[in-house]
Amino acid sequence: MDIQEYILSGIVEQFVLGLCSSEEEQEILRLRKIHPAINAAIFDFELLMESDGLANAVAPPTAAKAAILNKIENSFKDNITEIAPVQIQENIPSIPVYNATKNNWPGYVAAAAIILFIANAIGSIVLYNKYTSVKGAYALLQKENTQAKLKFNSLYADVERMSNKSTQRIDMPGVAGREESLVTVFWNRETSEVYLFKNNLPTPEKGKQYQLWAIVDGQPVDAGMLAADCEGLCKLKSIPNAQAFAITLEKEGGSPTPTMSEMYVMGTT
Amino acid sequence: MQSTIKYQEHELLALVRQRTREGFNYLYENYSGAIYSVILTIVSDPEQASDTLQEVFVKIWKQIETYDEQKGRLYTWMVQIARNSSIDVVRSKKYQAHQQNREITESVYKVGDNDFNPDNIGIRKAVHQLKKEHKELVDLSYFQGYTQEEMSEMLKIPLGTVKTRMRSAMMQLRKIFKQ
Repeated sequence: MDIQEYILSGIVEQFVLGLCSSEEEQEILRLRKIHPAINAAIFDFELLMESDGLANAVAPPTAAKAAILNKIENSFKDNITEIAPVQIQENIPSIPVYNATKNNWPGYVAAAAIILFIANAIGSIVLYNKYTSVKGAYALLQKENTQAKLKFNSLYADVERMSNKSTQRIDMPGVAGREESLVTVFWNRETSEVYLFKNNLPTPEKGKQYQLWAIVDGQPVDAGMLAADCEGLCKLKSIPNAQAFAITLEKEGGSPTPTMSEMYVMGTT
Repeated sequence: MQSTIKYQEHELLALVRQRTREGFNYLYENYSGAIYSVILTIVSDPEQASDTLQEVFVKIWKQIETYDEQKGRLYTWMVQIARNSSIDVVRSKKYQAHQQNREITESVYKVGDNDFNPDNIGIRKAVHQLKKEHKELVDLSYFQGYTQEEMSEMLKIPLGTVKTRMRSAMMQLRKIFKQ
């Protein structure tokens, strides 16, 4: 099979655009595994389509994003524990084998070949061990790099939220007897989103959890639980209207009404 | 948000697979425009196109497990979902009835000056430059979702001819894109 001819036949483009018959698709999927040139041609055309697509982007209506978020809101998991490491292509160099050819000094050549082979094998093992440790270090760096990017981007998003012109900052100092405590709420009056920053709150004992309350017309309304592992700004329940916010310590999972003796901080809007 | 650091594709994928908000936001901020443009080339009514975009992003989010890196880039996969969903929308009876009403209303009242022309965006623009016989096939297959067999029957040309023409249409397309 002439690979170059196959690549230039138009099949690559057809495949990327999703216009192949299923037999053609099976064939190209099989061939790309054997021929790096086909794989590269597919990748090139995908990149070409991608850059063209991004260059021709049309901004969707702003309401669309909120509508999508509304449908997938329950699927979010904000505390990621693991960043999948990158797949590294296994291209371990193979060990070359020395073939002793027939000549006048078969013994010497054989001996030399054996010595060379052993030396080479030892060298390969050393190199392979190095390779494995470098590979591990590389994967770790990649992971740390992703986590750093993630952290930076999440902090940047926090700064944007805090400085948004619709965002009101509500300082919640500690109540009498709990003066050390301090929490800040960032409440976006336009989107109703409530974010909270724990400046200082004692670590709750086991089985207990902090709960945020919005005081609406004198009545406390549940505004969500504070996750123990939340860093930076923590998103709580959206509150369209409130005159004050307060935090009480409740049993894990929360209570329907606040335990007033367990109030830690409070602030008015 | 220009100040955010770009994620590489495998990083973004990890964030999306783990269902992080950051993953969704990044995916949406970076790709919704391109995906919306693909949808608009098929579903020309902006309101229906916006509904389709929502459907497509929910699908991408829910079906990310079925995406296989070995078979192509994330963008290619998302575009295929967008194209298939758009074709399904256009083929639905609801859409066709809606379009008919719209055409009548627009021809009677001439609602505004609609300068939106799908021939000016993305792949449509490229396809527009093809020869008539090539354009016809790409139009039927890419934008309307007909198979090669169906096109052979519709156009009354042998399947072999459909295949050859498709291939040469693809070669032309590549040239146009590379310009």
